[in-house]
Amino acid sequence: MQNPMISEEEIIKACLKGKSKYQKLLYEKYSGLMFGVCLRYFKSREEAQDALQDGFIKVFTKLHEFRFEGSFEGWIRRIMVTTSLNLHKKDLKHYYHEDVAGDGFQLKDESMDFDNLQVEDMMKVIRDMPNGYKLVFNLYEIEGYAHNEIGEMLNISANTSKSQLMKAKRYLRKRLNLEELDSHKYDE
Amino acid sequence: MNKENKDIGELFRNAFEKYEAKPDKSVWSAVKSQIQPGFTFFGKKIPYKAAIFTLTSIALVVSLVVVFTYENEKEVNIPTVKTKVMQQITNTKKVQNSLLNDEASTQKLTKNSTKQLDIVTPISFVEINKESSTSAITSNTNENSSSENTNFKSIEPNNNQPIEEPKVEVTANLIPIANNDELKPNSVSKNKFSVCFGEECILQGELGNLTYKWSTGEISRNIKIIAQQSDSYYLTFTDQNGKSKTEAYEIEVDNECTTVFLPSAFSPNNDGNNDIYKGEGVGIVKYNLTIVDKSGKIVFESNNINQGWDGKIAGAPANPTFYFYFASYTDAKNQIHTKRGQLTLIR
Repeated sequence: MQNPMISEEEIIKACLKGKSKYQKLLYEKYSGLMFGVCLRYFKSREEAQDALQDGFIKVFTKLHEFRFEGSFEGWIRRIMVTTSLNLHKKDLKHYYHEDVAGDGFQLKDESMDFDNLQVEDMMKVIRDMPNGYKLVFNLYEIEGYAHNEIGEMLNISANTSKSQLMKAKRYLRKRLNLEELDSHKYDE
Repeated sequence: MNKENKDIGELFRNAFEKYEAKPDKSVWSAVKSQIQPGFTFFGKKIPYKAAIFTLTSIALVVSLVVVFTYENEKEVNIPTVKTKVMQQITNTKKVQNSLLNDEASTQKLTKNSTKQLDIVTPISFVEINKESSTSAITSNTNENSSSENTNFKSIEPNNNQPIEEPKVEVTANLIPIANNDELKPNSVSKNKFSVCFGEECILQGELGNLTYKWSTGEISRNIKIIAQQSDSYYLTFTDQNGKSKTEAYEIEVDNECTTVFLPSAFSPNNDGNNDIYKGEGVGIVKYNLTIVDKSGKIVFESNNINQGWDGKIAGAPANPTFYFYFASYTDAKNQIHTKRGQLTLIR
């Protein structure tokens, strides 16, 4: 008896055959999650949508490269991340060339209350971060890349990646009024 | 990692692990246009938006047509019945004489029919239904019914649940003939009608200055019956001169139409057309409709054929995408039917 629930593998295989219904299904299945990924990399929604759009075009054109090993979500997520980074590429050197934000960034009064911290607030904070911090923080803490990988992706040294991450976290702690959190890491 | 000192990275990681946001619809349009470059129609390239609009309109029209065709099916039957009847009348004239001898048997049949009349009353109808639903459990005649019984709760007997009387809005007006000939004494003409189970039928005697007497005892020109089994009804009508004629109305219950029609699409946009997704059918004793989304989550469930899905999940409009339905129903013959398929929510 045919199972009416379509497995991911079936969807992918149907997409490979160019069946538009399944392409849409695949898009619908992952667009929400992947837009969530892209949003973290950009201040503006429009840029994040550009990344999502380019990312999905890549997903469909490179679908044959997916080997059905490991999770498809991981695969598609990696494409979204690299696509997002690519959109930053032309400005990338400015992010780390001069320490734009440094320590002297001005915090607005809108620091937030930890107890009521909502994911939307966190998203806003992340997107408002200086780009240099944002990319490293996203790649290291959320995507889980190592500093040497990040160094390669962003064309910076692993040490720059580490220091950017530290600054990013400091920024976030201040921004979220979480001074007490994570401080043990900086005692060294 | 030390849980006491929550890491800010962990905090964000947990928050964003499953974070979803809805992109604009334009993103998919753009992606689609890139991966399936253009639509061609008779060699002419149609812009994406126009094509989508056309396709959506076609889909809507098709779904409407499907629904209406179904609803009209029964009505369509009537003209054919009429012509059949006309033919039978001419045949009847030829065999009239032989039928004269059959008067006795006719009366016997009449008695039979009178007995059957009881079934038509609502009380006994409910009893029949109870009986049938209980025996539906024990008699797993369908190959898959044992496994499917567990899937569909509605099959379990539940006497508290009001059993629906089949209501057919499209009432078949079964008019035998407009007979211009004068009445022939003691003749019986047969009229055969095929109706769906549970369908409400109005049997109508021919118009004229006549008195009517039905095998059910009624003396009105029209009688209303609910078709539950193939049966015959007789109408004897008498004109002013005392000449009488008997018409037989043979009701054949078509079990094929004991089926629930489940549309393949609906558009819950409050425009009055297909705003609710529901099954349509007559003579359904037990019914369950379950709609699940692509992840298998139940978004709607109903044990009432008249209740459908309004396209909302917990009060919020559901995504315009496709879903799956599982319908199970028991007909009057204790047969358990299951249907499953895909439906599209269009906005």
